[in-house]
Amino acid sequence: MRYLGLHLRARRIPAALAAAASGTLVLWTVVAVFSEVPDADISLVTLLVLLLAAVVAPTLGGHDDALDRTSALRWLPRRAAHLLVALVIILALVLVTLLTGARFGPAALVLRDAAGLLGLTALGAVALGTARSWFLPLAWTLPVVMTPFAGASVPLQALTWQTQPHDNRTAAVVATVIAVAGLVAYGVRGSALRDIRSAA
Amino acid sequence: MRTISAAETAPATYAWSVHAEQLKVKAGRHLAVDGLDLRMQNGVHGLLGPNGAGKTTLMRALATVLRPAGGKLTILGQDVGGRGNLRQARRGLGYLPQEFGFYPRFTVREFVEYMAWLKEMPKHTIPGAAQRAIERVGLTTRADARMKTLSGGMLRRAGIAQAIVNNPLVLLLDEPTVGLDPEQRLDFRELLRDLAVDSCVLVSTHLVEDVVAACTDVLMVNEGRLVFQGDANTLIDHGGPNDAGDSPAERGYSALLRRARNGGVA
Repeated sequence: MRYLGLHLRARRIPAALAAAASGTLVLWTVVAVFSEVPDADISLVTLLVLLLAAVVAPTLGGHDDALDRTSALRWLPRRAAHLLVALVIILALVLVTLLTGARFGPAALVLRDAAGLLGLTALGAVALGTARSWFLPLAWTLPVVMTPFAGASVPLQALTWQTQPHDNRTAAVVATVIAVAGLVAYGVRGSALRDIRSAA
Repeated sequence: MRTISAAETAPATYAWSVHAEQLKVKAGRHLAVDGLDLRMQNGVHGLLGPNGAGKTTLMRALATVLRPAGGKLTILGQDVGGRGNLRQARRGLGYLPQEFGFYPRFTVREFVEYMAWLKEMPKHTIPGAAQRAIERVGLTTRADARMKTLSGGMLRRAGIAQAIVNNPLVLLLDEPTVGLDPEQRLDFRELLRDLAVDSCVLVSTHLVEDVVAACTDVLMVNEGRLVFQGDANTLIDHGGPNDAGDSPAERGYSALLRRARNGGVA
């Protein structure tokens, strides 16, 4: 257990958990205080999940990518477990609000967005490195939240999958594809090498 | 006393600890190591070369951080150039990068123990191995100090401690003496000689004098290729009175570099 504890600290997990809990509390408070209905608006639900996915981003790599790479550990199952545990924690944090007077749901939408946005973060880590891994989910989701799409065009529904209703099949398929791609790419390759000397 | 495993006493089934043939490695898009041939056995090997010669990229390829773009690379008898499994070779490797990142709130002991765990050392051996590594680099009194409180020289020594914690058979040290004071450098040379008894140590440095004093074998790279491999005396023999440098070894270095730049290989 001692070494798992060291690993969690090296991956900044305590700070990430604190940030995730605080972020959830702040958004929950906003809805609890200012909303006239108990259910949070879909854009707020997506924003909360986006925030939580971004909080996971710095935990996807250690403090030195080069030293991590020289490790003899079997990384694939560890990386996959990292993403799955992150998904469970995000779901737990968001879905616990369903028991309160300010609800972030429904559960199917939270699951879809959490899986898809975590997948995007993981793809970001593989392509851009740990430190910039949150660029990808943020760059895709913020414009979608600001300009939601409610039409029947399937390509546009796919493009705005984060804010589609929870029973939209296209959005579910897109989120699943991204989640699986992120899981496989990050599991096999890990974060891109972006350490101090990588530009040399 | 530490326990010696059966794997450590088993005879090696390979001729060279490190064997590279026509090795090519990219640093970004640039081919920083370009057709390098290298063979190394146990001992201290000093890696010299001007800035940009490919020393750090070569070190990173040998440390299995970068995959070669071409050629063949075998470490401890394991082919690490292709898509093969690198774990076996990595267990026997120690690597100190030129600069390294660390969790600033770790103590020196926690840092070294964590790196030992990453190298898959048996858990019950980790505390003893970490303590021994910390003692060998002279950081015993700071073992429980946080990494963020260490000076540059102490950080360097903590980095060396993590590199040697698993008693590596191949130890790669990229500019290990930066930030060490003269006394610490002398201690470090002693440590190198000690380590080289049963491992292959490659030390990259700009300090020609360190190489002459501590290395049994001198390697020199220029523009991604090996331009010299031999002992320190042979390096010195290459220097003439008209070559630049304040010592015979520096004059030898200058002469070899000039010859390499003019297209010749020693």
